[in-house]
Amino acid sequence: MAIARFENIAINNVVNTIDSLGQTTTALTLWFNTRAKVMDVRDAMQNAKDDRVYIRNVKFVLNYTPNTKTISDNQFGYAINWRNSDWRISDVMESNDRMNVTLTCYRNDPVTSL
Amino acid sequence: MTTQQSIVTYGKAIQAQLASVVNPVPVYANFNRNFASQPKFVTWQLRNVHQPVYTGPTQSNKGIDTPTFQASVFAQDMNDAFGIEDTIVQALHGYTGQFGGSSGIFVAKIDVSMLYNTYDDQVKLHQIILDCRMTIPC
Repeated sequence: MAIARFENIAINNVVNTIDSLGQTTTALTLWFNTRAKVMDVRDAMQNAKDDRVYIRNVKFVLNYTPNTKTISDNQFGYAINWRNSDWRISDVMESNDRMNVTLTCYRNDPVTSL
Repeated sequence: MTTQQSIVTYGKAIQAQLASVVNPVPVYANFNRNFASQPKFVTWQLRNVHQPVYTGPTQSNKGIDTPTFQASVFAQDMNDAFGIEDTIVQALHGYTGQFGGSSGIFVAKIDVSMLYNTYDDQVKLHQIILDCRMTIPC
């Protein structure tokens, strides 16, 4: 029998600030901790001529709540910490019955910071 | 006779002065990833930092530095872009004095030249390019 895979995640606010030299800095501050159904973990590498492209995707299924609706409305403003990595949201899908929200997330380290 | 000032000092002074002139519009060095969520902002880049060097045994025998920073005004609305450009020109063209606050630099004058305006349909932003040439008797 299959067991639903619920795992701890942390929802962080993404705050962009500017340092004294005009450089954009990104800071993550914890908004709340929760548990999500983790699905479709994908970690792949593609060789495109001279470049290696790392593709890391995961889906988090959360209940439809005021907080997840806020995330759905402003997906660029939030990052999710899971397995000690920070994931940004690329897609938000609200289920038609408004029971849950599916967040498709990516990370593009090790080279580029979030 | 003087030594060349650090571009770190120049950069911090430009950032501080531009930010105070166009406040509350955000100012960045170079383009930034916030264009999708910010309707207007200003970026700058520094170039041509150069003091003429005079001959002689003393390395610090140099003239007036004339660096140029290129400010780019970005805005979704054309009126905003032209308005911010005018704010910068009115504040900085011909400016003399302390530049970038107490920890900044002294400038003898600034020449602001509005180069051109354009529209980038990739990012859906109007853009105005300004060349600001500083004269720094250091």
